[in-house]
Amino acid sequence: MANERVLKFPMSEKMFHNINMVTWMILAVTGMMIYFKTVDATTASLLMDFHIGIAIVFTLNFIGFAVINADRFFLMLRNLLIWDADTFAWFKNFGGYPRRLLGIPFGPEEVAPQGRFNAGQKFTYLFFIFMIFGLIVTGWLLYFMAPVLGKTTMVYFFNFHVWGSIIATAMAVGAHLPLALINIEDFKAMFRFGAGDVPLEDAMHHAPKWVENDLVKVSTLEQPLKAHH
Amino acid sequence: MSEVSKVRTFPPSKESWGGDAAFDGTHRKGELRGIIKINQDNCVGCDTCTAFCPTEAIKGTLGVAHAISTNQCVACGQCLVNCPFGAIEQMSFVDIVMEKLADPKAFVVAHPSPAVRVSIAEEFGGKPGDLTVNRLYNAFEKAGFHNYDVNFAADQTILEEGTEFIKKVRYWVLGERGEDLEHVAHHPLPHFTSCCPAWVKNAETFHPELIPHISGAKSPIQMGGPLAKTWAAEFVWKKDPRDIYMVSVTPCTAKIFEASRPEFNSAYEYLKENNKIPQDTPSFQDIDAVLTARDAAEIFRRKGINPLTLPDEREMETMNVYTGAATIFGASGGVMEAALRTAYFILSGTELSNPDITLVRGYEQDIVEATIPVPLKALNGKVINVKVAVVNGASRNIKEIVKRLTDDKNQYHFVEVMNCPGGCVNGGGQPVRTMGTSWLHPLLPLPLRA
Ligand code: HEM
Ligand code: SF4
Ligand code: SF4
Ligand code: SF4
Repeated sequence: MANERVLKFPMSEKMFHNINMVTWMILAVTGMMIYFKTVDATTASLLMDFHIGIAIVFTLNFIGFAVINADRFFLMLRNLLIWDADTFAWFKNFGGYPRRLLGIPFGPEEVAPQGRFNAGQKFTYLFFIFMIFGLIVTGWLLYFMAPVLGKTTMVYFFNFHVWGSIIATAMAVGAHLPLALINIEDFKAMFRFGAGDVPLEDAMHHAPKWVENDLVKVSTLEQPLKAHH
Repeated sequence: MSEVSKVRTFPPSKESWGGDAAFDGTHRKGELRGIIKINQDNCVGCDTCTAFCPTEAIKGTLGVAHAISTNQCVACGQCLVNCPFGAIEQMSFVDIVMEKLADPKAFVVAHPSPAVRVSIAEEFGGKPGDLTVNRLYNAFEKAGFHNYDVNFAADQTILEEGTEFIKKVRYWVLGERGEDLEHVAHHPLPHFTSCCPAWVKNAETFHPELIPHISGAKSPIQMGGPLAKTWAAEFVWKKDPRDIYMVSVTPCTAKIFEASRPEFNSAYEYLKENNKIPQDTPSFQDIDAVLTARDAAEIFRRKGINPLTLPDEREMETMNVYTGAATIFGASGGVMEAALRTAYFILSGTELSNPDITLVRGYEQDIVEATIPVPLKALNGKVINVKVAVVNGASRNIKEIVKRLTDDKNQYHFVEVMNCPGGCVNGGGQPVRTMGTSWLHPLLPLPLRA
């Protein structure tokens, strides 16, 4: 049991996530440098070319994941979209994180059992996916369609693009990143070269309902368990 | 009713009229420049405006604050009207006119164009039609202006334009020769209209080969100015013309530029020549200041006047008489239609049976063409087919027309060019609607069109 591992992130998901992360950060930094007029016009112009170039990679990465790995993508959406009583119960004590990390005795001590994603992750990741999609759509519309969008639409799209990206980036850096570091096994699985697996013990602690309902054993000892979807 | 956004303005500075040099780039001494300006702090570099500029005057790449090249700009204000972020500002004479209104010596005259009535109503939250002619006059009067309607002058423009066109037809189509036709020998067909100053400036800077084709008739405003300062000053108002301060109120920002052009001081020249003013009087312009519809609304607001609430009665004044021909001036195709009617009448001896040549007064298409058979009185009813075109929204169509003309010189006899899509009703001085873009306008189902 101690050596059993479960596959959490297949290669396709790792590739999507990591390309998305790197391109996102480049887009966020270049975008903000331009928007807040931190550099002179020539540099800003170059940065915008760069922003658009990286945006192509960013867009293809998302489309590639959603289309080529449609099954994994829809599995992920399913996992994110199914909200049962336990999911809602998570918000009673925010998964016990305030108590454990900050010493704030918030809500009951017992954490409601969670699936592959806990409620906080569901919320955050749905928001991220929505923002990725929204930034792609508004970004390309701003690029190609500005004069025909109409002024009001243009202003909405622009503000969505700028402020949406800033809020989402703040969430990624301020919440997603530190929490990923705390769940160090997930972190290692995501960034290690090779298999994206985590110890079964760890999975049972964080995601008991996932282990119970969704996982099948593919072989004994030292082989990762595979999700059966 | 669509909302109206606030447009930021700035007063002209000393440099706005240029220095002492006779020329500075494309501007002559005294001509106003920098009438439309992008505020670098408010521009987000969305690049929308560049698509609306007829002369590619706007510089800047995506994401970077844009700027207008003064040498290329024709001051049409289309960029201003279409900037989603309100980053484009207009030079305004509101402060200067307010000072004049407070000066007891100045005889300040408002000279409104037809297209501003509807739009000033809009600035006060009214529907088109809420602001009647009488209410508008009453509002100007209440603000301290005397009234003088441009339609009176528009009739003059149409007459000039029509007469000029007839001469060109006689010389170039019918091959007539004679002393009265000599000056058109250097002005071949097609005849281009001249009343849109943005188009005139565009042609001067970018298509000088078309200059001989452009009508010599002045725009209604520039005909009205001298009439007011000579005839009306002497016979109607009985005022020293030097005290008359002519303020035209227009849907157009390019008129601000036009009024500053050095040749538009005919009243001064005439009065000096006829010893009606002292010889050492410094030159003054026929139009002293131009207010956009927005500026006029601002003056009313500052004076606490809501023109929509004023009485709808007043006595007809001498200076407000006009025909139906002039009221359609502001619509695209309007000048041409009016001039054509006059030309038709003179050439054929009869009224044009269908005075609304709707083919010409277009909005949906960018270039509208029509052929109008005119039976010639002088040639016993021999019919010539007058080929006309209206170019609407110069940003995309000037090049196309120039190309067609170089391909076939006989393609048109009469071309009306209006810089703004749909004509002056969509001019750069009109209230800026928060919603929408003039580009999508032709695609909208009719009930949605503003
Ligand atoms: C497919 C993805 C994307 C495309 C096609 C795209 C495209 C664009 C375009 C065309 C603009 C210029 C807007 C304008 O000035 O009119 C822009 C600006 C900006 N983008 Fe993106 N973008 C994408 C993704 C992102 C992402 C992921 C972020 C941040 C996380 C981001 C942050 C920004 C910011 C802050 C600006 C404002 C810069 C300015 O003032 O113009 N973008 N983007
Ligand atoms: S439309 Fe307005 S905000 Fe956009 S680039 Fe032009 S001036 Fe700047
Ligand atoms: S005012 Fe007209 S010509 Fe000048 S920059 Fe704007 S759109 Fe171009
Ligand atoms: S079309 Fe009318 S409003 Fe537009 S620039 Fe010409 S004269 Fe001015």
